[in-house]
Amino acid sequence: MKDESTPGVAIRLNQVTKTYGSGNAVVTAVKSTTLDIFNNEFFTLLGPSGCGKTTLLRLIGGFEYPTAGTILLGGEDIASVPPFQRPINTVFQNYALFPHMTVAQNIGFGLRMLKRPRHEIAARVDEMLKLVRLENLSDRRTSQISGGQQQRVALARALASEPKVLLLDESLSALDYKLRKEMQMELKSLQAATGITFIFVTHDQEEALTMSDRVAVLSSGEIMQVGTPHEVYIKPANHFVANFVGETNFLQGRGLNSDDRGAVIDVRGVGAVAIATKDRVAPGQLVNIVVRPEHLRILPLAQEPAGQLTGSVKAVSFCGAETQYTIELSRGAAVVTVRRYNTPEENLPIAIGDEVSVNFTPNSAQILPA
Amino acid sequence: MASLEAVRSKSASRTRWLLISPAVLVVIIGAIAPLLVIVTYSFLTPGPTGGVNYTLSFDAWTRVLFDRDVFDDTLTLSGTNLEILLRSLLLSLATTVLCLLVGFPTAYFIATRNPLNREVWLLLVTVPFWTNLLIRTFAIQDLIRNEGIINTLLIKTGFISEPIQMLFTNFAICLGLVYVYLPLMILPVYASLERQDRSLLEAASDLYARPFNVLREIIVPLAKPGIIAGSILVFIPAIGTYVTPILLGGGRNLMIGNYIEFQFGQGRDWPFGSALSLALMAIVMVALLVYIRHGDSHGHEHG
Repeated sequence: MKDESTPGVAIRLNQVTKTYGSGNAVVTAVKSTTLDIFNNEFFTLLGPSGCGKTTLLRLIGGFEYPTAGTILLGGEDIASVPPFQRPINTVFQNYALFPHMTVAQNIGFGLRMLKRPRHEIAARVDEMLKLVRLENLSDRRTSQISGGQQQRVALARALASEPKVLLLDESLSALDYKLRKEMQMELKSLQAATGITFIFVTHDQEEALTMSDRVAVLSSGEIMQVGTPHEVYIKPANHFVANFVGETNFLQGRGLNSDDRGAVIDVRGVGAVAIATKDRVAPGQLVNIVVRPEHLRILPLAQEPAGQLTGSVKAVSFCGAETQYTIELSRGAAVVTVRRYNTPEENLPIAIGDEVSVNFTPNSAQILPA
Repeated sequence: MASLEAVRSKSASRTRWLLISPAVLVVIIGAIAPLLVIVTYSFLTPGPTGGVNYTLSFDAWTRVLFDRDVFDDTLTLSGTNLEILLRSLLLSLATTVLCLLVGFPTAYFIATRNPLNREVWLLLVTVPFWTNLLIRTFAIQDLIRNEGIINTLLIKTGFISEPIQMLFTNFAICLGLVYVYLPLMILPVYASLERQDRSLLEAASDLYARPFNVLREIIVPLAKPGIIAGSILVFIPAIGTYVTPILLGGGRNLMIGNYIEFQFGQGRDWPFGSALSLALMAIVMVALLVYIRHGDSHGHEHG
């Protein structure tokens, strides 16, 4: 490695591989992963279950040791350092609070293990209790407090010893929707207030997009894309990311012609569609047009001269803030989902069976190799 | 309305009593009645050939702790009785501690195997129960007697020139008791360890606890119910044990169980036997109360 301690990098994974089993039954959980996570960053590992995101987190936490590769913390390889010697703390999925201790004892546990003086521990515990707003629960047993409060205790406990990096393993998934939303905001502001690097694991793409500075999307042990939530959503690197992060329509077609500013794709059975892209598409090349449901506009056919695409409405579902339409293009050549905000003005009523035109601007779609 | 409710609750309580009556009957016949008999006997005088004479006397109770001088009726603390009581207490305490020291690591070992292997290990723990206690105790005798396997082996290999006297000592009794009661410690401790959430151990390790501190701060405190249950299961039968001291203590190192048996047998002093067994019961109960109280308070004052 050329520079071992790059300033600004909190954690550097270098060619990290983790396999389980031996002989013919080898399972690869993490495949030669290289990744930099920066100081003071809210970083999220996002992926479906079994994609290796939790294994990656456990490798950083020290609960598993990599089969190959190095894990650098501040330039130092910690790949084989046991968890109790890493300045990294974890908020576990089930919180893992010690049932035989009070809230305050739980929070002070790490400092006590570090043999800090008693008065310092007491002061720090008070500070943490204030930070997570649980001052009046310090003497309760962890079984006597609610799930949201347990979550806060777990956070306070992990933050009490001021780790360099905080790991959060699907930490919000056990909470109900309202509480989860609240905790998302709270986590984000805690991260900003403490300046500690947070590495968050989740399978919930919405959670990942809301909270993170950067997201790594994983699939079967490999990183598919790393980027800001905006990049990952707007410019997915491949089919998997486009499909996993948010809802997407895929239209398969072949290139007709392309230049510096865009390409024209012949969507099978539907017609030619113009897309703004810098990538060249060779004539005849099979590609997917990726376009988000909220980027599609629909209008009743009678109201508007025919747009790029036409189709008939197969299903309508009301989702509160928006309505979702399923539209079959050109008699079954393709099916797309369209999402429309339910504003009181503008929206013309559209019902099942209506013939509609479907439009999108060349900028709102993207081309991925099929 | 009120009267209807009263009738209903009355019939409900009658049904309840009817339902628990078999259990109550068993408790009365099996536990309360015999206890009452023993209590009664302890306040009577011994009959000439066993049994009791129905005359009130506190003599049996006095003799639990004191010797009455044959000539002037003065009372002195009974050295023999106290020694037997003390020996019983110490031997069963030592047995409990040794069972814990051996049983806890064993239980931990089993609890951390994969589920399939766990069952095999648990089965192995219960294997000694398949053989009669007497046979197993005779086997220990054969191991530790002067011409036994251990002494022979040590002499043959030149570690010692004279056999070590192990049989008919307190050591032999303790060894026998630990051997017999070890499974009773392993099983409840295993049960409490097996239920432990592995993520708690990871959390402790994550929070800078070294392996020994994980053991001291998390594993042992959480296994406390199992440790208490196991200690009770070992201590109670150990203090009243009968066979082991006879076969391994050689009749020279009596325990209170043997002493009680003697009173009902050759001694023909049923009141004294009754008083002794009640005293044993009292000791056990006090010991348990102290133990459980202490165990509880220890848990609260953590950190």
